[in-house]
Amino acid sequence: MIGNPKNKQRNLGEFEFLILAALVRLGGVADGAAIRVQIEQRAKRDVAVGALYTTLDRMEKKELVRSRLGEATAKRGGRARRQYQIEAKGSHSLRHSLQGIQAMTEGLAIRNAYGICR
Amino acid sequence: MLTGFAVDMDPEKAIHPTPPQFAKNWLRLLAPTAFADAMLGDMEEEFVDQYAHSGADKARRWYWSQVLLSTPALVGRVIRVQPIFLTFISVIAGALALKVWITFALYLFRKLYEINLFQGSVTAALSTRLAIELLGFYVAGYVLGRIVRHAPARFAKLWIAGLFVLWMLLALPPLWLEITGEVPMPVWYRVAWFVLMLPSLWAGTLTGKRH
Repeated sequence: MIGNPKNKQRNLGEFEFLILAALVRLGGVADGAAIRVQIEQRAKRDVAVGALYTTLDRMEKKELVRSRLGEATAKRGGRARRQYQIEAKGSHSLRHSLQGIQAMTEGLAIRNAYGICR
Repeated sequence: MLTGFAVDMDPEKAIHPTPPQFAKNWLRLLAPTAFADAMLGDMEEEFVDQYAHSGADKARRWYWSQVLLSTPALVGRVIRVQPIFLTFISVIAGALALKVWITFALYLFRKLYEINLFQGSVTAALSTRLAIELLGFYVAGYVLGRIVRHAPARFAKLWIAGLFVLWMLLALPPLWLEITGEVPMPVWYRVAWFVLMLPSLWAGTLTGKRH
């Protein structure tokens, strides 16, 4: 049902969707740097580190992902990595969003200015 | 002198490059403790890689570009999660919009007055003044609304109260004289003027919140 708040909770933002998809591609667990590289390489989209961590923080509060501290290295100025892991709720939301996108794009032909389908 | 080439040749012996201190401090100020270390660590790691492969200039440019691109998201988060900070900056932003607008408009008004456009018509001068300030308060309200659009409505009272205090401070005789070049207003007049402007301020706030 459209008005059901549980359904509303499952809706992911575009960036949240990309982050969860990147996490799944990276085996379900990854740090912020790996997620950023994955999105930049696959989605061809520049990602600001601050925007990524802000979104991950919000997703953690929504229980879509959880995080734990990893190892610290000298190259990182002695700062610890934070490993993010996708939660069951995150997988569910990702599947739900993916189904919606697949349903909407199935058989869809996008023509460019010359009328050629891509 | 340490160069990108030297780092390429012998990264182990090179001095550990560090990102610009001011940029790091700025990010630390904005980022919450929950992820500040992880974020700064990622950036420092990438900075060191860029430094080794592309040189100091490119690494610094990359770091600063990340700081600039990250700032809106980090500031947005602070505004969403910290109501006191939100109230503080919204009042300051609103007061600044108000002050800048009114000062500029009154300056223009005085110039027009000097070239005799309004001379001989006190009514026209007063109505113009009223229009300028109504619009000024509307703009101030709009700025408040834009900034606090995700905040609970109860903070509206705080914004208005804060703006009122600032308005009273702004209209202190020496400041008022400095800003407007006019005779300072008595206190009752300042209060009455603010009350008169409240609907305009409120309308601007609602518009800003809805956009």
